[in-house]
Amino acid sequence: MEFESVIGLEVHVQLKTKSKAFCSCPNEFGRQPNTNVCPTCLGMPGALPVLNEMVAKMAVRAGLAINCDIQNRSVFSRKNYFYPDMPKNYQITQFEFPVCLGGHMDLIQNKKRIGITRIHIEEDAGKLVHQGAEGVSGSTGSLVDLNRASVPLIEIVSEPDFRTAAEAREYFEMLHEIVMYIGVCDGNLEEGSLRCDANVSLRPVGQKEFGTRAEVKNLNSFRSVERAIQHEIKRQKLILLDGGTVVQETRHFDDATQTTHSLRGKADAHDYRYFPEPDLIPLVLSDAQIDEERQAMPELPLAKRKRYSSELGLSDFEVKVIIGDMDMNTYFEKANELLVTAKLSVTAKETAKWIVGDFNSFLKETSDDFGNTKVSPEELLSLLSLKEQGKISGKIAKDVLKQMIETGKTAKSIVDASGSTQISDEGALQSIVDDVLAANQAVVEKIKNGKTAAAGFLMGQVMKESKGRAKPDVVKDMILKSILG
Amino acid sequence: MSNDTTFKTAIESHKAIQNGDITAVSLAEETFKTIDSSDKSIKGFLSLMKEQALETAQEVDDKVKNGETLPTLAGVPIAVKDNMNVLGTKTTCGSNYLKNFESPYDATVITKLKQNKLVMVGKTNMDEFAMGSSTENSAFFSTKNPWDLTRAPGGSSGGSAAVVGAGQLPLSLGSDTGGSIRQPASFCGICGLKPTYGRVSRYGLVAFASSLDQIGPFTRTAEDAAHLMNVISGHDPMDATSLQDHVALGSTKQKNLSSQAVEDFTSNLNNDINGLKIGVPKELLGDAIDSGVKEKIQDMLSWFEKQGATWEEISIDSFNYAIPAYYILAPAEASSNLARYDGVRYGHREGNESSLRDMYKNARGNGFGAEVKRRIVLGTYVLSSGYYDAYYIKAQKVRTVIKQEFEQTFAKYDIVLTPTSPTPPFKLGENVDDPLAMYLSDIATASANLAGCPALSIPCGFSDGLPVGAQFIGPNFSESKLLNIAHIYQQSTGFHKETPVR
Amino acid sequence: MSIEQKDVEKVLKLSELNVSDEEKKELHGQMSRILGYMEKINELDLKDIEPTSYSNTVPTFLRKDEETRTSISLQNNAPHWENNAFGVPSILGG
Repeated sequence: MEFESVIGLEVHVQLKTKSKAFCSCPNEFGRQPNTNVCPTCLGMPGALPVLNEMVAKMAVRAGLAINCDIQNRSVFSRKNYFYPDMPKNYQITQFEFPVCLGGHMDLIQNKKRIGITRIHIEEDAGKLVHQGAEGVSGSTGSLVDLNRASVPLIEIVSEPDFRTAAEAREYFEMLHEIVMYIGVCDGNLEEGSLRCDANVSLRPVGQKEFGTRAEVKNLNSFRSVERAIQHEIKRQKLILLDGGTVVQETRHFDDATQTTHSLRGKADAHDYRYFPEPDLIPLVLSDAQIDEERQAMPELPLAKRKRYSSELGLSDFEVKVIIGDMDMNTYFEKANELLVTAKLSVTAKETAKWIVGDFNSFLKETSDDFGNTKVSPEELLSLLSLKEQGKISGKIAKDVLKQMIETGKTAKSIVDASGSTQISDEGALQSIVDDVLAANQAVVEKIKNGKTAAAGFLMGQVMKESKGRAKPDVVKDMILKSILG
Repeated sequence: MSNDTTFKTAIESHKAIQNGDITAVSLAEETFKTIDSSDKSIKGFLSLMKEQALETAQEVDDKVKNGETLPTLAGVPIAVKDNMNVLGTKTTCGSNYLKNFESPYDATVITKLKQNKLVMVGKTNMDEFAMGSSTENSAFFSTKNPWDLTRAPGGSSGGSAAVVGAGQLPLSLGSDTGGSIRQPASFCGICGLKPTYGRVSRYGLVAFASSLDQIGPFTRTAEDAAHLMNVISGHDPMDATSLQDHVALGSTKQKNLSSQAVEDFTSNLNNDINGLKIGVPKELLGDAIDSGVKEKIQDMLSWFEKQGATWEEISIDSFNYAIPAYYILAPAEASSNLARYDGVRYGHREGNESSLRDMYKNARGNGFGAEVKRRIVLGTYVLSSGYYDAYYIKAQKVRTVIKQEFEQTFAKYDIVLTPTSPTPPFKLGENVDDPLAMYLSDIATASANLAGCPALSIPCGFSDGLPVGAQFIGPNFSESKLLNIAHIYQQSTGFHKETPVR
Repeated sequence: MSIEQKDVEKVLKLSELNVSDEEKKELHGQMSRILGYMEKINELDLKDIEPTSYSNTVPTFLRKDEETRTSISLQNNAPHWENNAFGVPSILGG
């Protein structure tokens, strides 16, 4: 029997607000345990939540970026269950009336529109450190750190529109890019800033009804989203081919073994007893407030991509690299802006080539990145201008850039100090040309016999003798003139 | 009988301090002395804050000496129900679970008391987590009614009501979820006000049912209640459900809209009540109401007639449905509010359990008393899948009906007048084995919490030597009006001046 | 709708409450009586009525995104304090 897989994704996005969702503790964790807490996020008796205005704004921005209907009224609910990382033993979330409904996102490579069911606001849980074992199983106890408790999240829920693991991966990648570019998430996957759960089920090709699904949790990288779904599809297929039935359950993806295993079965199914959170009145957003976010929306990655390739003429590779690194992108955008305003002869394409290529690889040898490099976009452009004006060669420009990155000195000061400007004065080059011709009579003969291509060798020799400073086209003219007259 | 300091009103005491007739320290010391002798039998206090109180009193005296003008109630002793957090002191909520819990922060009302230099003398006894109507559900001991030590002071704020009723001090704070200020005020022969929901910040009040809980004052006079309301009310950015001041003022002072403005509850105290229109629901004059209570309510209505007010018997059908709706909604919210008491961060834990689940079950099972467990079970049940629509949603709809019915009533009448409690104070132990009977004592009070509107209880006479209370319910933001009516009543009657014989 | 003993068991599990068998029986009886009384609300026609969840409809109040660090002593109240964290027994154990 042929099966078709049906996949839906739930992506938790940690919002990069200054303070937590419902209290004013700083939104940062990883410090000493339980040092970033207050009565509210500790669930102390009598403490109350108050929603952070920025959380609402960011949720709206995310909704607009993926074409959702922003709801004028959304309601907070309590999701009740006991777990020690959740201090109140209920999670404040949105249930019946979320802040965003009904959006979509278009996959570029897989050329497919994916429906977005909803986006809701909720609070994160704290962290547990299990004692005496790697994970929860076998541990003798756990330590609870509530620094992360009540950090704001939005959960973006897709329709079950994916049919392959590759589609799911592309969606997660694109979503990752979007939330970073609209400034709502730092995109740090290693630290769990985006976390993905996948609902996977199989059905015989042609069948309308969905099969029983399993929810795979703990997918914190692009690769693990793809691998976990692939594994889950394979696992379910084997069960079904064997005549068995898939159990509706939550499964955990183990990155080390690249497999999934059951967390809790149906017997333990929760009864979350959702009800409206009486401590928080409904979030009411006026059309004007929503519009304000719409106006403030920065250029989305998809539009950026189009502009880079069609207007600026960047290669697909360059586009991919420049969009894939937010700091690099900001750097490039700044440089590009300067190009236009300063009417430089350097092109955006040339700038991109340098940023993606040599600049990027030199930077990687240092501890700096595009966010804090010693070379300002202005300085990069003055270097590229020197090259464009023929004052230095490409090779010299590379050396100078490397020094700029290391020392933070300006292009001009490095070039001046090393005397490495290009020589185009024939008088200054004549003696070198004469020497090279004299030492390579055999090659000179070849050229005389019509093999002008051999001049390249002689040019190389002249360049070498001039320590790269001779201007190549001038040298070429001089060689040919000297030999052929 | 009363002596000069014990049954003085708060405002009288404050004036004496401001004028230098007495010192705040001497008043505080006098108060502790009275508590020492009187509270042996009343048992209204769970803990005292002697050191802190004398410190504040000294500050007040220093300011008086320097000729400073003090906030209106500065130097006046006040007791606080033990479900409000006071930094560095125990907040037990009358529960074994929180027996040793030390508050790491101040509730907003406590901050306000401190800013206004009231002298906090101690925390009062209460039904565990405010669940009860007799204060017998306290894990520690039951409080006695000052008028008859064999009777209940009412609940859940029984301690706060009893200590004011006994003349230990003139002011206290309670919380009211379904009648927990008004019913004990009625039982102890004093004035108790449940403000409009959102008037007083709930930040730092240990939650029972968040959408119903309100903090309010216990006093002997309506005038003192108005002054204490001035201290404790106002918008609080720490409580998202607290009324923003311009909203709270909207109905009464539309002309004077400043974001800083807070209503002055004393400004209407002496308004004429001639022409006042009163609705008296027949649902609360039936067979379920004690005849002695009905008699006193009739007396009060006659008094109103003499003042040029009119009253009519009306029907508010939803009084019949308030108790079932209330005892679905309040336990539902409570079941979730009390989930945080899990033995992890604070409170009771047995220790030595090898599994988390066992730890939870023991911490909660042994930390909570029977009534709290009963309400958690009830609340969990009505929220659980399969029963949510049948109970919880229906009760919320009843709440809508109650709200609408009150709105319609207030379009015709200025206030609704009822007995606060169907009976005079009942005997201790009388209802402890019958939870449903206990629930029914909230029949007159729960509606105001479900509708959100303010309600006040003042003494209106005695039946067999036991105080009877009358309840005024008004539309949202009408506290000023309710206090005005009560004040005029107290100007021409003497029930609020009666004191229990000790 | 009448409540059964197994409903009481389920609810006790959801609410993490340890009660004795005797208490369970008593709870069942009391719950039956109380819920029986609740049936009263079925006398009302509630079909087209919207549920009310809040006491007041106040305008949305939002907090500005500003951070403040609170210093709070946790050790005093914590039943089990270890490495600056709250200790709990094994989550799956027992």
